[in-house]
Amino acid sequence: MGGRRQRALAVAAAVLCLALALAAPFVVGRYTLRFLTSTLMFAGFAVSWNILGGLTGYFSFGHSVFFGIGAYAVAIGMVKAGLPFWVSLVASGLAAALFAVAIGLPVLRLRGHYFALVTLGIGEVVRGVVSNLTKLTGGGGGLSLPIFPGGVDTIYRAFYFMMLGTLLASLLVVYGLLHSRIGYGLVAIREDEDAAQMIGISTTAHKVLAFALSAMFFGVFGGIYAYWLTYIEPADVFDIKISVLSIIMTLLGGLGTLVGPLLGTICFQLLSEFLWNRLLEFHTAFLGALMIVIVLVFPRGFIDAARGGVRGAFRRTVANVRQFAE
Amino acid sequence: MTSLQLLVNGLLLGCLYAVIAVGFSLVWGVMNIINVAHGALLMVGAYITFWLFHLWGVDPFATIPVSMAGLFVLGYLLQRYLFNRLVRAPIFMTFILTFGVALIVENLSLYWFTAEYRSARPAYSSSVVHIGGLLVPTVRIALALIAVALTSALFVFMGRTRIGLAIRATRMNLESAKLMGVRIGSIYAITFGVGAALAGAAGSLMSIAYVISPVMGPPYLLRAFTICILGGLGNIYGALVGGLLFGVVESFGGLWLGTGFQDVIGMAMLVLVLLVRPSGLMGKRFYEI
Repeated sequence: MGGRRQRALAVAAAVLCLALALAAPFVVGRYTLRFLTSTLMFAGFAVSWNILGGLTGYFSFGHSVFFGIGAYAVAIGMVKAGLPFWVSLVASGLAAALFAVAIGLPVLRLRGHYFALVTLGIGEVVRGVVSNLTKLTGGGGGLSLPIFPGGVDTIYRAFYFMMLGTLLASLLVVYGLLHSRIGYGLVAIREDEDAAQMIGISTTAHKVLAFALSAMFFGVFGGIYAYWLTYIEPADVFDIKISVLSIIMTLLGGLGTLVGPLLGTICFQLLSEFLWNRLLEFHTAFLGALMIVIVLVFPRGFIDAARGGVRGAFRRTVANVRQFAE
Repeated sequence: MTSLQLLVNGLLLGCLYAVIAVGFSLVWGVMNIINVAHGALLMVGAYITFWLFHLWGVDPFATIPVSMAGLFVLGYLLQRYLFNRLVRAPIFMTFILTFGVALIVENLSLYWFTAEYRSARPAYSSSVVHIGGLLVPTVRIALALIAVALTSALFVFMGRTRIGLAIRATRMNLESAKLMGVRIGSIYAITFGVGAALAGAAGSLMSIAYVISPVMGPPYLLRAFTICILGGLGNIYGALVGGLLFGVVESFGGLWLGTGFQDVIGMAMLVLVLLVRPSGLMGKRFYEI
């Protein structure tokens, strides 16, 4: 971001987007509002996954765990403990963050492939455990939550604004990180962890903090989601697709940037609304195909590809292949 | 159930795990690709056996070469035309690439084969052998023997054949291997093909004694990963020892904690080994025999 004019443009664009987002629920129909609400949630996934994956360089394939923990925290808090929603929601963020600290302390020592696969494994394990703790979680049968008080339109708008608020909070956190010592520390870890440690960055504390922040937002989104759907089951809230989507949307927009994940989510949601939501049984296959296309053609995301032209990105890929093949 | 019975069950199962793990370890060790699709390839092998058995009544044991050949071709093509494009890319890229392939394969299988649990149990699968006070199904003994034979065959292949030597040479020093006339692209494709064929064989073996479904892959992928870490990467003995150890621990853990928590034990073992002894119990640095 250089120059005063560019900064003014960016601020204007942000204000315009925010105004549109605030006005939307009073203008659009229910179907669209529902679509927008889930888009906000997905955008929140991408933005907060990016704190660990993009800024710090640790690719987690198990963030669905935090979403699931948040969802179950709200469900158990409201149904079993009789707590009000807002208290349960705070608990959901805290539970997810605490779990992230607990597993992060050992697991964040691992790098690269090891970290990725271990997080994938933790996702599978936690889902299995939650399905088996029948007394607390209702097991595979799931849990039903009370319905949000108020008319249909109130409910639709309330959840829209909750998702929007959480997304804005996550964007603020990323913005703050990008302009602070901690954020520079995270980026330093991504670029070269040993060097970061050499210059005195306490890498463990930084990584655990990033992990906990990122997990906390997933937990809060999970909590809102549970109350929104009023019914949760392990297969749904611990779905690996949540982790996969976060990665795809972040990669689409560009790793480690503020607005990249947001734009990636919008691209992705438009694609999925108009292309493959009509073929729901092949949804996962489309996601898989999209992952392949991203890594082969747009390894740095759509934004970067658009800068150098899609052709440029393709040429780079081809060059890479040539260089390799004898 | 006595502890001895549990031990025998665990060892027999561990032999199958070893086959899953050596294929995974080979691909990882030689090309530095974490093949997330390994579980999906295993599932495809299991279904090849199931359909041959179910539709044409072929003996499940006779289908093993078919599923190995089929998976070799599939693996060869995947590496040759897809994964080879990214061999030099950052590790996450190949991780995501194979993840994408796994998602596609699993989704299509779910669509075509449905989520129903199936098994290719032949009529003779109910026969058991009494050894001392132990009851062991004959089929499981046969499965374990085939598994050990496959692992040994890989050992011979890597140590005694020209292609095996070329694969190891490629792993040790890419540039020198090129200078010696090794065609890296096809060697990589063959390596992946061999890994996939082993996954296919393991899938066929699993379908004879256990239930299969299109989503069976990920738990086996995690086991393969854990076993590779336990045994040390790129080491056939290590995979065998790791597989046996894992089978035994899982079998005892299932008794103590209940089968629902079996995966927790595996995961706990994995994290523990990674933290305490990252090079594995029999770790060597590179692909060695």
